[in-house]
Amino acid sequence: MIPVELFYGIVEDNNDPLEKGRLKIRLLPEMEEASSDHLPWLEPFFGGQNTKTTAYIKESYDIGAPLWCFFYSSSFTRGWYITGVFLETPFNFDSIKSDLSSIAEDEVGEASNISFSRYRNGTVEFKDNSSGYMGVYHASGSYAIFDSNGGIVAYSKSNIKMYTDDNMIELKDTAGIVINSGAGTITFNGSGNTLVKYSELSRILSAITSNMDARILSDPISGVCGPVLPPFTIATYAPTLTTDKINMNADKLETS
Amino acid sequence: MQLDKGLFVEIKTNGKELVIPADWLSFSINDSIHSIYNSFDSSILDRSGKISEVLLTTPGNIFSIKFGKEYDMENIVEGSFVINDDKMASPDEGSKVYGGKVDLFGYHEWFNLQQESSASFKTKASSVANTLTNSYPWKGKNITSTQETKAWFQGLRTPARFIQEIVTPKSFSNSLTPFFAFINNKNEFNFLDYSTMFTGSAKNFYYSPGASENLDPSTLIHGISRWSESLKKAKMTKKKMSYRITDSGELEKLELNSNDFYKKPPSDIYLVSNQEGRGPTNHITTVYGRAGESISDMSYNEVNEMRESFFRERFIILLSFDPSLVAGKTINIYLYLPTDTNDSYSVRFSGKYLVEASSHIWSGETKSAMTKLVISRKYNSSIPDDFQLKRIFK
Repeated sequence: MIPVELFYGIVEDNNDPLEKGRLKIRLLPEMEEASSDHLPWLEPFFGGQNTKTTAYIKESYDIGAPLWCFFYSSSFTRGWYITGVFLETPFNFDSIKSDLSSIAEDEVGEASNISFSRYRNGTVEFKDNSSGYMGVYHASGSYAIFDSNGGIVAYSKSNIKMYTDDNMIELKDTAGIVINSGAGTITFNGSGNTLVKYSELSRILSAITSNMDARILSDPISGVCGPVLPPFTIATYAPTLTTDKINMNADKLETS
Repeated sequence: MQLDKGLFVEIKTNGKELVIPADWLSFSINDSIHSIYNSFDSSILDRSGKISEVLLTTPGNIFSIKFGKEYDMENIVEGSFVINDDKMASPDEGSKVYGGKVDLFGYHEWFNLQQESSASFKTKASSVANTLTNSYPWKGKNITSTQETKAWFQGLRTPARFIQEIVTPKSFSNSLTPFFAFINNKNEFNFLDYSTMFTGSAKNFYYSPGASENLDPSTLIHGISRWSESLKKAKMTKKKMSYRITDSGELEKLELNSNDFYKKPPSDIYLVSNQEGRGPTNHITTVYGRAGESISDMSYNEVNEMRESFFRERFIILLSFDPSLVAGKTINIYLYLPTDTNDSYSVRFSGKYLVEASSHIWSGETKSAMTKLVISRKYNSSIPDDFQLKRIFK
């Protein structure tokens, strides 16, 4: 057994020169008048390695943050910081609940079931231990969540960008895919309503062109076009209709 | 005020000298290398109640005392003490007033000047002790220099508590002996290691009832009593030490012999413990440190583990009043042991001892002054190395 003594301290410096996640701590009141140069750098008690190799955890703490620390003895030769100190006034579950309720994808449960981390900028990581509702609510209003049914919802106040190198982005479903935008809606909701390939569309439009020419040429006045007036020149119709497939586009495409 | 046969005592309280008959006053002034404050214990016969009535015996009063021999003003027991407790028993029968014998107890005046602080230092332990004692007008300061410079945190303690609880147990000398911080009966502040104290010059004293006529009476031991610390405190079994490798977190184990206290592990963080959590000298042996940290972090445990072993063999001796003998000094004692052929002295018990504690006493009832010492040493140096006692305590 190793006896320890518990102390209260604040973060004096969080820029560890060794970059090992240590914090320079000023214990209060035990080091209130101590020179900053003398203060000890403490290692984190929580976090660190959870294997013997390269998996590790590090939390960040602001300068001035209150912490609980412990030492092997009150001579302060060796100690650790444990975690931040609970401050009742800044801790406000209602603000968390208000933020999360704006997601409107699921109901936020009781405080007793919610675990969360609130960042300095207002972003909230949360999980509802009862329903499994969990995700990240960004201070901007964006969010990415698993809802209580296992659905995944992503909402961004800015862009959503997806990139892939030498792979494909695949949207796969059994019931259908709907793309909603301000310009219209595309719905893919069954095997009878598949999206037309460009080559297929080109073939169809060529067939329509041929069909229209054939219909014109088969007309009783075929070969003559327009009124016959002096000096009575008769023009012979030669089909010139072509389809500009390259510059063709559809304002709206609905396959159903 | 003159006591008897060239002895004098001067007691001032609030700047005024207390003058009472010598047989109304009894006191002792006591120091010890194990206690940072020396103390004053007295009994004053306040028959009329007037001494108490003018508030002279009130707690908080300062009693400044000088006690010595008129022909040896170099060696005077002296100091200022703040009265901490006062006690008065029932008045004498027949007395018409509330008066009688008043018992007073006080600590050295430095006790009264203590103030908590959370200061820090980055220097040697001996410099810390020197800095924190600079503001008091000691008659002298005896400080042995330590080697390691490191950060020290007073941690909202008084200077005295900080020196006693933190600085002293974490200090050691070049000769690898522990430090002691104490005020002696000469009003000197001391921060000394055992080796420095024990190698000091020593006076000779004799317990020699069979040959006393040949000896100077001032060198005679009038009363003597011996005891030794039990070996029960010594851990006779082997201990285990574990140390942790920083890179992998693996625990490695070493087995220590019964006479090993600490060993420097090959690397990294180390833990030492034994089955009872206590070492051979009754100090907690569980420690934690890094091999890469300063030498003092490694060594103070090793040195201070052995602190009590320096005081295994003890005598209490009673001498004629000798104000030169105070805590931290040494004496040689010779115990009479006649043989068949000649008078001689015991080899087993005679030798050099450290004065662990001293009491300088004036008894008003017997009108006599005496000095009582607790003297000690580790063991007789002539004990062979293969004796268990020496193997354990080295």
